[in-house]
This record gives sequence, C-alpha cells and structure tokens, in this order.
Amino acid sequence: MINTQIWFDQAKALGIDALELYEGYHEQARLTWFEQAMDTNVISQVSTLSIRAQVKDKLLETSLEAYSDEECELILKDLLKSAPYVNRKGRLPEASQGTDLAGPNMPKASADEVKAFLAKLEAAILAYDKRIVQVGYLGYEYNDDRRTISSSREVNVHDESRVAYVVAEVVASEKDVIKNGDDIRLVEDIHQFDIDDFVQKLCDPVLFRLKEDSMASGNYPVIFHRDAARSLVGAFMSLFSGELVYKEISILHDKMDQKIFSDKITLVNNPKLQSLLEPVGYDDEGVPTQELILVDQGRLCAFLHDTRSADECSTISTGNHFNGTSSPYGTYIVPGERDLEALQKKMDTGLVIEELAGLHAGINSTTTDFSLQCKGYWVEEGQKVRPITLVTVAANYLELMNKLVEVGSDLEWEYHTLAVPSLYFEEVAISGQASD
Amino acid sequence: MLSKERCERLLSLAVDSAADFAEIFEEETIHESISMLNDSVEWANQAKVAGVGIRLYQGSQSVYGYSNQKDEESLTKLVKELAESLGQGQGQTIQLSEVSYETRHPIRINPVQASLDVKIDLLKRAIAAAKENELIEKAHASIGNTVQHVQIANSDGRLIQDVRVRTRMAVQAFANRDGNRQVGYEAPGASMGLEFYEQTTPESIGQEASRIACVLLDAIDCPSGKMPVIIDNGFGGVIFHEACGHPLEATAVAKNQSVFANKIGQAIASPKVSAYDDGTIPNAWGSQNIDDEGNFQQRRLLIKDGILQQYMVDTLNGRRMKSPSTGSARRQSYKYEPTSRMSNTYIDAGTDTFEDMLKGVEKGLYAKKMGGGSVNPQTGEFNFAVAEGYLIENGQITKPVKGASLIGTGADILMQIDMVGDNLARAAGMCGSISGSIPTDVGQPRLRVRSITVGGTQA
Repeated sequence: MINTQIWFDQAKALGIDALELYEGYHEQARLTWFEQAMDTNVISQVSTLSIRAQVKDKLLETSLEAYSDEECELILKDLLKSAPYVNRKGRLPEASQGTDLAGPNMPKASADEVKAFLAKLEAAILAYDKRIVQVGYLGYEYNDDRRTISSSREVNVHDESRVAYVVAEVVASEKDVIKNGDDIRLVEDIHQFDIDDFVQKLCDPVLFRLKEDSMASGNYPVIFHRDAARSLVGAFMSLFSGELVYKEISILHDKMDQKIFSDKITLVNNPKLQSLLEPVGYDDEGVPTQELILVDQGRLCAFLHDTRSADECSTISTGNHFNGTSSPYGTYIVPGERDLEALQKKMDTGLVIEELAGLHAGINSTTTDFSLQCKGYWVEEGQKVRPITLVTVAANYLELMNKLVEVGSDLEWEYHTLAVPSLYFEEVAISGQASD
Repeated sequence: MLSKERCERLLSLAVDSAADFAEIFEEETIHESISMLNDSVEWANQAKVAGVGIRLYQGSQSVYGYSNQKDEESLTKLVKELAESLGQGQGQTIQLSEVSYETRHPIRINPVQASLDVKIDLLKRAIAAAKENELIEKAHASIGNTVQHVQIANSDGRLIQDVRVRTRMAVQAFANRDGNRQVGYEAPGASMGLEFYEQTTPESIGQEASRIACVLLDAIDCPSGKMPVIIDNGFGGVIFHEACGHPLEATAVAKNQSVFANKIGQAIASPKVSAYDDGTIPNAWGSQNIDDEGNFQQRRLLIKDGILQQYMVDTLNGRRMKSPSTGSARRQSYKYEPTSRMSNTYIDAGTDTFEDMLKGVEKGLYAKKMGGGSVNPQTGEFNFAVAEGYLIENGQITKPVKGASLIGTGADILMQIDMVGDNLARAAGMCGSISGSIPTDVGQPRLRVRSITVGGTQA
C-alpha cells in the first residue's frame, strides 16, 4: 500500500489540481485436475496502481505495476508530459456519500481439500453416463480482489471480494460424434457443494447434443434462452454508454424519450442490487451508484454516465464509471410472467437458441446489425424435440427488440453482472445447412 | 531484470523439490495508447506491466506462481510455496549460461520513445485522409505501441533475453448519408517501430477505413444459405487461423481435445492447401526472436498439399505428446502460463486466378474483408464475420452486402477449398486463448470454398 498523502502533496507541488489513486490488489489460487491427477496449480499476487491527474480541465492517466512512494515525483512528472497534447476535457469528481456494501466473502479451500473435491467430481462426471468420455477441463479457482480509491477531492472507498468457483468442461462421444460443453458454479462451501446436481446440469445438455444437426434456413419464431439473451443484450449495452452518446456514435444519442424497444421491455441498471454476487455502492471513481431505469416500457429514459461523459452531455454522473469508461453494472430486463416452458407452449413450434458465438466480431454496434453462430433446440407442440447446431441468427437488434412477443420470468443472476430472462420473438432469420 | 545470480538461486531453490524443471519468466513492458476523435486528442496514456512468472514441472504437471513483487523475500516465498506443493526431491545447483543472438526484427524508431508530436501527427494524417470523403462525418484513430523486455531463465541452464517492439494503428471511419450510418475499420500493425508508417502510410489506413464505410452505405442485406464463397487475401486468413490453426495447437492436441488429434500424415485439407506457421518472418506482427519459454521461433510447415505434417508444440504439452517443442510457446504476459499458440499463420500461394474462381458461380459470396471469428477446437465448429462482402451472380461481382457471417466445421471447410490464388498477403490481428490475448498475423491468397453456410437476414 502507498502513502496517499505523499502522492497528494507531490501532485500539489507539481501544479496538479486533483489526483486520484486507484489501488487494485488481486490474489488468485487455481488448481486444475486431469485424468485423476493434479494438472496445474497457479498462485498469484499482483498489485496495480492507476493514476488520474486533473490538470486544469484535462485528465491524464497512467497505470503501473512497479511503483513506490519514493518514485512518486518521477511518476507524476512523467504523467504530466502528455498534458500539452491532450485536448479532451475531464475532471475528477468530488466525494459524496454513498452506501458501503460488503462484498462476498467465500472461504478458501486448502489445496488438499480442493484435490479431494476435484477427484470426487471427476469420478462422478465420468460415472454419470458411459458416453461421457473425458473431463476436458476441471478447475477450482479462488479470487481475492480489493480496490481502494483515494483522491485529493476526499474520495475514500475500499471494498473487498472473495469468490470461489468450479469450472468444468466435458466431452461426450457416440458413434464417432463428439460434443463438448461446460459449466461454472460458485463454491460457497466446498463441503456442501451439490456434486450430483452440478454433474447433471453439466452432462445432460452435452448428451442431448450428441444428436444435434443443422436445420433449413428460414424465418422462424425464436425464443432466446436466458443465457443467449444475456449474451445478445450484453453485446449491445454500449448503446447506452454516455461516452458513445456524447460522441454521437451510439445510434441512440438523439433518441431520448423515444420508443426504442417493445413496450414489454423495461431495462434497469442497479449496481447496488442485492441479487448481484458483488453489489457495489461506489463506481470506480468513487461516485455513489444508483438504480437507473434505462428503458421504461420501451421508452428510452436514461444513459449510463461517469463524470467525464456527464460533463460532455451537460448532466450528472449516474455512478457508472467501470472498466475505465461509462459502463453498465447490475443491468437486467424486468421479468414477465411465464417461465421458459410456458413460453415454449405459447410458441408451439419454433427454435430456442441457447448459445451464441462470435459476439466479438459478428455485431455492428453502429447499425446494430448482427449475424451470429448459435445452437439450441427445435420445439414442436411446445416440447423440446431435437438439438440444433451450425445455424446463424441474423437481425437488426433495435428492430428485433420491437418485435418481442413476451419476456419470460426466468431471470437468474448467478455470478453475472447482467441478467436477462428468456425472450420470445415473433420471427427471426435463421440460416442453416440442411435442405427442406 | 533479475540478475543471473538471483535467477540461479531461485532456480536451485525451485528444483530442491520433486520438480524436474523450473523456469523464471520476467517482463518489463510499456504499453502506450494515443487516441484521437476528429481533431481532438482524447488521451495519450502509458501503462507499465512488470512482474515475474515462475513455473515448475513434475512430469506433465505444472505449478505456476506470478507476482509483481520482485524483492528477494517475496520471490523466495513464492518459489518455496510452489516447490512445497510438488513435494520433496533431490536438489541441484543451477548454473546459467547466457544465450546471445542477433535479432531478426530490428527497429529504427522506438515507438514509445518517439515524441508525442510525431505520433499525433501520424494520427492527424490518418483522420484527414479518412475525412477526405465528404460522406465521412467523423473518424477515430488510435495508435498502440508496445515495448516488451523479457528474460527467461530455466533449470536447463538457459538464460536468454528478448525485446519485442510493436506498433499498430486503427482507424474507424463513420459514414452518414441521409441518416444511413455505417462504419469502416482498418488496423494494420507490425513488429516494427514508427518506420512501419513509411511503408503503410496513415493516409492509406484512413482511406481504406473510409472506403469500406462508404461501400456499406449501399449494401443490401445478405442472403443466407449454403453457397460458394471466394475469400480474399490478407485477413481472409482468419478462416484458416480459426478452422485449422487452433486445433493444431498442442494446447488442444495434447489432451486429445482437437478434431485433428492423431492425424499426422493424414489428409485434413484439400490437396490445393499448404500452410505454415512462421514466427521468424522479419518484423511481422506475430513474430518474435524467441518464444515465451526461451526457445527460438521457427518456420513450421503445418500442412503440405493437404497432408498434416506437424502440430505447434510447447514444452509442457510436448511432454504429453512425447514431442519436442517447436518454439510455439506464447503468453500475453507473466500473468499467464505459456502454451502453444500461433505466430504468423497462413495458407501458401497457389496459382488460380480470380477470373477462374468466379466462373461457374451462379450465386455466391465474395468476402473481400473478414472480421474476426472463433472456433471450438474439440468439435471444429467455427464462425466468422464478413466485414465487406459482395454478391456473385452468374460469375460477376454485383451488389455489396452487409450482416453476413460464415459458419461450418474446420474439417469440412478445408476439404472444400477448391482454388487457391497467387496473391498471398498477411494481416494483423489479436488472438485470444488460455494464455491470454497475443498478436498474431493471419494470411492467405484469395481462395474459393466450394460450399459454406452463409448467415444473413434474407433467409
């Protein structure tokens, strides 16, 4: 830990108007298991210092992994070299009172406990069904994260989070067909972990996929399962970023108060939500977080702002400075009345998309067009009948979100910071390899 | 960097255990990022990464620890913890010999040390060129420079250093015609200093981004279905990278998790296809003098006339495969254990002409520029985005299309390549896998795939 007062004093001496110090500490233990033996064991400790300096009306930034109080003058002088070149305005926020929230504090299992646990879990997976031929990846990971945000504007935030989870990937094979699938689950207590339930939820989808095939291209009724819905909605959350709004890059920049989605959709951002694994009372600038309705029954109500984007848009920060810019955290679509099974019954015949791939490349966040690889299952008379793979789903996101039939009730957070229930759409373009 | 003596002490401590091998990877890296939107400099930031990763093997098991605390007490504690986790064994005193070599990737203008004036001027030139077209309402340009110093010491007695210098410029051009907005993107890079921009000028980068954005203004929705696709050269090589490259990494092969495992000597591609992964190409984006285990990079012939010749192998996975390292171990930073990854991967040039490829195509797609993609190495299922595409109708290139993606399986698509052109080119990209995000070139000449599933909104 650094002595922040030394840095604040040095900053003042160098003519820096305000200084923010974000100290991050990350400790990790990860043990993986393969074919009845330990495969890898990783331990780590890394501390980082991110600095933002306000010089008149500009913000200068740097991030370091080698630093000390003795070096602070050198580091700050180095940072100041870019001041004459940066045009964009920015400032550091003043301190204000928010809510201190405790992060998760899961216990860390010892290496011996983890080895015994993974050995048992591997055996249970392989015993589940003779078509399960390999546990491709099996690992226990424990993360201890701490952040401390201090500024010469009296911001003083500290929080900690300790989380453990297990990750598993299995391979199933039948008649030369090979399929794989994975799952992640939190491990709140290694001795209370429900191995049987985890194994079933991991293996059943992969075994079902052994018979998966493509389908004919066409326009079909489609339900995005909550996992796929989360991927899709998450991929387009940048539309609400204050940074992209002020730059007029977001297509929503001039659509405040207009209808942008179906009136069945209400989209909320609330970093303090207790359902989150890690609710946070302050963003990464130390600004208090708040509940914000972004879309109210289809109508655009708000954007996500940090101090900089808020100033550019002549508004106030919404406490959404995460990952270095104005970002969502704790975002969800308000759930409806019907669960996935009931939505399937209502759809009667169509496709349920469970997984999307290629999100990093297959979306256009300027136009909101997307074309993505997907897999899922075909439904007839409301029942799951056969698994589908090697198809694409393509649409324009804003147009699609206006063709929503219904929002499901199956909202689930687990360890995510974004949650979306299953979404049922009237008709979506699907491309496949099979002929009619 | 840690002194030779400190490395020897730490390595000797590491192998005073059941470990049969130990390695220390140390890096000191500066990443620089400068960004402009139109005529405004948004930021000019530097980030410094500095730390040590220590690995011990016992057979095919590994223990790995990393930290940015490099004082004697912290590193000694880390090594002891790692050694204890493997158990006791017979120690030995490690003595290191420094390996010297001449760099294959010399640079002239260190991009991080160069003045901000020079770098901002490069960005201004790119933006000005992009905005020459009046349809471009805004342009965003950024330059990313990296200087990475690494030192690798291991219990085989090897001590070796490398300096990796890279620069990359990315331009986004936003076109607007009567409310129809599209964006074009171009991002070339190399293992070079700023002299890179003397041959790949900022003007050319800005103009290319602008050209793509303007083409897309007239693009129609892409039809979907199975059809022949001609994939152009350069970044078109992402197809091979995803469909074949990843499944040929020992990362997947060693544990029998690749669709191409146990297939050396077998036909895995059309006889028209020969392919390389070459980490020695002077100053190429994915090149390095040494891999991240300290072994010299190599030129690896992966496929010859459709027949699989070799995999890309790192030391640890090589133990499982009983194969020597091919100098393919890479990692994003000291925070990752290295594993076998690609460097500059490409399909070699053939002789087929574009005219011949177009002949006989009644309805197809010409993918002039590809976006990124991803693959499941176990099943071979892949996907790619088409950044700039055109319909082929009755042997002619007709309308531009948008919203297209290509999907399939690696084993199938490689067999479906029926023509390979002569205009080999490579392009820079970033590849993500279990050892992090690393710079890699992809490449190919223009080639034709007989049949592939095209995803579009016109079902």
